[in-house]
Amino acid sequence: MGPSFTRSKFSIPLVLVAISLLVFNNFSIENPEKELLESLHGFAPWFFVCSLGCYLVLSGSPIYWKVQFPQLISGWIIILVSFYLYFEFNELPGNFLVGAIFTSLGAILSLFLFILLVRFVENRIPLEDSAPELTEEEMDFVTKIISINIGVDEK
Amino acid sequence: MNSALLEILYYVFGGFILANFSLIIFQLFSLHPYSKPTIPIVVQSLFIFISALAVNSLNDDLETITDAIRFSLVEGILGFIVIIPFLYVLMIYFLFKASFRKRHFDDLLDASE
Repeated sequence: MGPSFTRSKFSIPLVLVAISLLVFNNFSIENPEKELLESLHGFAPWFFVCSLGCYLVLSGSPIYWKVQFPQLISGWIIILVSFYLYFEFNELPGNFLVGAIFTSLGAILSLFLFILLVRFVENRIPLEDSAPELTEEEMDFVTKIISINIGVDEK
Repeated sequence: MNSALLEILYYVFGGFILANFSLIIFQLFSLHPYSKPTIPIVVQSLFIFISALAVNSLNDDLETITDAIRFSLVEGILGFIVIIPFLYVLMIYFLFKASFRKRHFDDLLDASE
């Protein structure tokens, strides 16, 4: 079993808590978060509807050669409706390109530094000694498994 | 300082702080026996603190470091809200291609069902 089997699975509860806080918030919000919440109110309908449409299209697309037409067609209709929601409720700021480019730049810089940090930490771990050679019994066992898998009758 | 340049710096610091926060949360919430997140988390927290100090010194309206972090996170999220539709358009292009592709019939895969 690899480490992914023991990885903590907190992502879904965390996302649910974040959405609940956003939807069921009773407190008055002041700036700068007020501006953000107004943008999110315009953005969220498009985002959730479009994500649902994309999921349906993906599940209805031809995997190997089979197409699921109900999911595929409803997915494309939902995607088209989502863009109506986007242009109806969402307002792009005047300098949206500047914001998009330079925010991405900051995020990419952060990601690059994170990669360097992980590399630094991983390089500090000393290498383990090489594994000992297989015993006669282990060699027989491995040969038997490979023979079975490649279809050679090992008798 | 020029207001356009200030705005650019706020967006860069916003994206930087938001991504660092996201990566810290990711490391904390996906812990496994082989992960070693202590050094990255400490250094990233330091990056956030230094960036917040820089934003605080650039913006006179912000009184504390916490205000600077809140302001930067809002700028970062607003920037990402603009980027996400463009990424979705790209994804929809690939979904469009995937919807109309034709694969050859495979006897072997058909027999496995």
